[in-house]
Amino acid sequence: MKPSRVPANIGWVALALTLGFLTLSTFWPLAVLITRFLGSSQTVLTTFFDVFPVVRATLSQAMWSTAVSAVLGLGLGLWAGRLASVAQDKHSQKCVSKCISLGHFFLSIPYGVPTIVAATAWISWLGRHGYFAQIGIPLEISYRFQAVILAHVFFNAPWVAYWVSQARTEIPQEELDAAQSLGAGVLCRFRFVIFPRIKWTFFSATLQVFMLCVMSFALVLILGGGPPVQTLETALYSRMRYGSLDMPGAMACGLWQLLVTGVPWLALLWFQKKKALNPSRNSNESFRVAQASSRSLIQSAVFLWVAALFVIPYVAVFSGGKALSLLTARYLSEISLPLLISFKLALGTAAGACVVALLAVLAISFVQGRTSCASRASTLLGFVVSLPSSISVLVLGLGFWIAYADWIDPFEGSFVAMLILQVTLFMPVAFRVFWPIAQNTAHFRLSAAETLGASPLTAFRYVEFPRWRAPVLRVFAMIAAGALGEVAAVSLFYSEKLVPLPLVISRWMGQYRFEEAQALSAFLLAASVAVMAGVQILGGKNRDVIR
Amino acid sequence: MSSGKEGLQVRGFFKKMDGFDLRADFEIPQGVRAVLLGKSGSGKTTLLRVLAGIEKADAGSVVLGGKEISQVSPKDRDIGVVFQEQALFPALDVMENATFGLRMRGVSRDERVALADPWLKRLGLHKQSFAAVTQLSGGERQRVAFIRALIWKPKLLLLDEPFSALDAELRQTLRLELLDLHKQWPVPVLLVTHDAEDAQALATVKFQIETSRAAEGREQRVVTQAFSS
Amino acid sequence: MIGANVSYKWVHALVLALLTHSVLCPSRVSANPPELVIYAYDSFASPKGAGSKIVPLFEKQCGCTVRLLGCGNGGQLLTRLQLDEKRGKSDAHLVLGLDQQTWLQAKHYTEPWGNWVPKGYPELLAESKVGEGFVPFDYGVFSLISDQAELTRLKLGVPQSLKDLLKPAYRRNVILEDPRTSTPGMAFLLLTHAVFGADFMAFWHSFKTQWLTLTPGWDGAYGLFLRREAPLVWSYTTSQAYHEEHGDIKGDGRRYRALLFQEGQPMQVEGAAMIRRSLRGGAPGAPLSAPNDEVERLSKAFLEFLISPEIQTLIAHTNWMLPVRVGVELPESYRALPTAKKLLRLEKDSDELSQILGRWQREVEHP
Repeated sequence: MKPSRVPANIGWVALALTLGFLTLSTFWPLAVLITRFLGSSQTVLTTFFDVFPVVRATLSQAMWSTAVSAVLGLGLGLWAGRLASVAQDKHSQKCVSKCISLGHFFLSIPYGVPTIVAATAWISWLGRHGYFAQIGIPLEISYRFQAVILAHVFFNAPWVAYWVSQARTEIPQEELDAAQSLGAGVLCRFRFVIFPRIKWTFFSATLQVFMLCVMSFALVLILGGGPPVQTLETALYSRMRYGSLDMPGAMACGLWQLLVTGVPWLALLWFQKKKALNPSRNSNESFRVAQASSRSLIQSAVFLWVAALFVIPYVAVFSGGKALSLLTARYLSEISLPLLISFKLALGTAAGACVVALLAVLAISFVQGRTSCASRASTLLGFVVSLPSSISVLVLGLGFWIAYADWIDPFEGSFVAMLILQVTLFMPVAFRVFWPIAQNTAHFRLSAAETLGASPLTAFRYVEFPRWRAPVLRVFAMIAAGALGEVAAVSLFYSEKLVPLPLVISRWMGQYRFEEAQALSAFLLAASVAVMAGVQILGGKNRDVIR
Repeated sequence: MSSGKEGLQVRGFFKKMDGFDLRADFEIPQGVRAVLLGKSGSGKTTLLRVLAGIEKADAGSVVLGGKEISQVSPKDRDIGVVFQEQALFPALDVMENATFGLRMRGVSRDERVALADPWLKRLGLHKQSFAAVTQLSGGERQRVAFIRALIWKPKLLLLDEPFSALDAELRQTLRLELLDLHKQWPVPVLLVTHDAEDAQALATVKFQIETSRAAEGREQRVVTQAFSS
Repeated sequence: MIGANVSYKWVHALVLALLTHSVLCPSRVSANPPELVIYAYDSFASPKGAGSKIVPLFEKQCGCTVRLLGCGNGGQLLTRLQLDEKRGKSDAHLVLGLDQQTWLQAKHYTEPWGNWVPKGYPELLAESKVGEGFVPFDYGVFSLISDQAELTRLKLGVPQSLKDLLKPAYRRNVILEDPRTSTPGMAFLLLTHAVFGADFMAFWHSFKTQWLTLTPGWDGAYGLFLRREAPLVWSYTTSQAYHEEHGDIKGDGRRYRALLFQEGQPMQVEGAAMIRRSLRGGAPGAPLSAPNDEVERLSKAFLEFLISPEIQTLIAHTNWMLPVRVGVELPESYRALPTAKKLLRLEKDSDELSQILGRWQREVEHP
């Protein structure tokens, strides 16, 4: 094991801050909740097995959604990655590059689409008076298992495609050329060259999708048609929401979630460590890109359309053209404060999640270089950092409140609590993107800079930062957009003076203001896309997508 | 089209490059080792990639073993290529890398191992047969790349600056090893390099890229034969 | 040492931030001027809710300030009280929006009236009087709402009873709410329990393939209904009045119509109560300190204000519910609502409720 390049003082601080944050945001609230609410061990055990039908239903839905998303996402991602590689060819036309950049941007949009917007949009398509029914194709899949799968696939396949594409772009073209010159056809090139290079990114993105499906809430509630189509998250919600607070039942659902999502993640980290393969090209390799051809333009245009296909369903919320009606003084006065709160929260969450994830990366790199059992320690720490994404936000939020009841009262509203909770939820997403980048740090280049008189910070600034800049911006933009439409965390800590935009939608619906609520959904979607585009444009567009 | 001749014939080759046009007309008979000398950016690697089928020429024909291969896909050209960065497959071990070409041609695993063993022994790699290629030194990686390109008996061997990243001593050793390997399988060889020493040590035929004249404001570069021994 | 230092500062900063926040948003009641804090459901507490009209009137009358804390829906009010007890304190004096079902469980967290009887209580509808400690202020009658245009298009008649809903013609034509997460959904489940008795699961066994969807709350169901996803939705009779007030034709030509079952309609009574003294920091039965005494007086005054004729008249228009006070003048749209032959109050104690819900869940969870 190479000695860590993270200086001891920085390493210790990063480790302390990471563990401190996780303790305060996750472990302490969970511990308090468990000790306060869990009944006798017998009750827990009985309840644990009582929810098994829900576990089965969750797994069935999550596995189908994930499998279809993964297969579609893999195919699309490989194609997109190959095209992105072509776009780097200096002979490639500018419009090819533009098409591919825009296509990648489309692929990143679904992550930022609020689930309530997605559900409304799907009803507009699949519903009994939806667009398909109107053109004489009544799809009988609405309010059924198939509708949930379809909505999940449209949500998640672009996510897989996006990250696979990034990994595919990194494959040295010479390896592919070499394989081809040795007689390898498409399948063999995929099997021996491409897949080994992308597999951890692919598995990681797939697992992330699986987690999202297990934790799925609004889509299942609205599109599933009720039980038996449900998830552990909806079951957990029904145990905490109405009448009696069934905490053992909720904890049983939470525990199952942890098991179902945590165990595969731990396994992935474990195997990844054992069979680590530098996922990107060697740092000293000269990089030859795929050659642009006359077909590149057509292919990139087709890709753009395919990528747009994953965004088109959500455009349905703009139907009726009511979104613009919100731009009147009457509505603006009603939504301007929620909008401001939502933007502040989204940007704060994105910044917080990126900072904590970077600290975690630093801490793990530091641990890797110091302990005798570095591999196991860093696997464990990586798992611990990713753990919050396996815990229901409802459980976490409740624990948060009970643990910090003296300071935070959710019914009074707390921006700080919303922020910390959202940072906790989104941080693992950022961590999973940053960690592979950190593993490919070109230490010799940093050393080279230091021998030329650069301080570690300056060396990082000029040698490493250019490599980090694009992914950090990308993740920042995605998280900001995702946080803008996030409902669960904000619904735990809002107050009359602190109502973020997504809650205004449900509030309006409760007041018979359904058309206005749909207009606001469209507004929220536009805001999410604007945040995503804005961050990427401000941070120097294209550099992130087409390196 | 078939010329009825063994070896490689390149006729009327033309490719528009950034800032110049590259033209070539040459042949490399069976068993001949040709070295193409040229500065960085002169177009020599491009020529090699066109021969391998990885890039397309704007005009011209390439005949190998009497068969026109300009339109044949790289995987069916029967040309072994050694890339500048070796381009070994990190997911495969030394043995799997070395025998990849055989595997693609349906040779069974046992046969592949039996065929590769003498080659690996000859180049001192037999103890690392099942090691990860990421654990090899630069010289060892290059040896694996040589074996990988030759073991399946291609009709032409192309080498792109194969010694550029190695020290002088290792370079000398590998040149000798390459000569030795070539004796085992005396196909036409085209090696592109900017290093005159490589040419001196290996070439039976030397080519170079010369700037001939300007046409329509564009620089014209032509592959010409320097001498024959 | 640098590491330890920075870490310490960070933790300190976080704790400070949390403390500062709690100082900036004091959750405890300040003594001067008197402030009444009320837990209420969101639609009451929101800027355009009934609270926004009622509270200023009361503030003017009492010379105090009233703070409404929105706590989600009616079910969450109970959760709030349960959690307050877990953490050992409550920040409010009153809870507003409990219904007769949640009251059975919330009673434990509220203060009994003792000798006090709210002024105007005898004038309230008999069915609305749930029990001592609970001041009803409005009620709703659950019913199916039909979209007559859609029913005509689908050539469907109007269902007259629960059993009618099992007819093949109504398959995927009814939108319901999930009883686990919504009050109307629970009312429907309890109605089936009341009508079919021990055999109610047989009804659900057949019915589970009949509904189009079970939404988590009323808003989701009604939103789908208005998008014409189904011609029938489980809602309140007052939905008909809402549509009439917003342009639906009156009389026989109306499009949205409240439908009554032969078996009767479940009703929901909403009320308010004082939160138990011990939860507010005082020992049960112990004499209250002067400021607490003052807020208790204000609490009682507010509860009486809720059932005063002035506020009861306001209820219909602001909360889309019916006033509990007899003889209050109703808007025309309310007078046109069909009158249920039988109003059913179907509250169950928590054990029985869990049992019913458990049986229901086991039945519907299986495809």
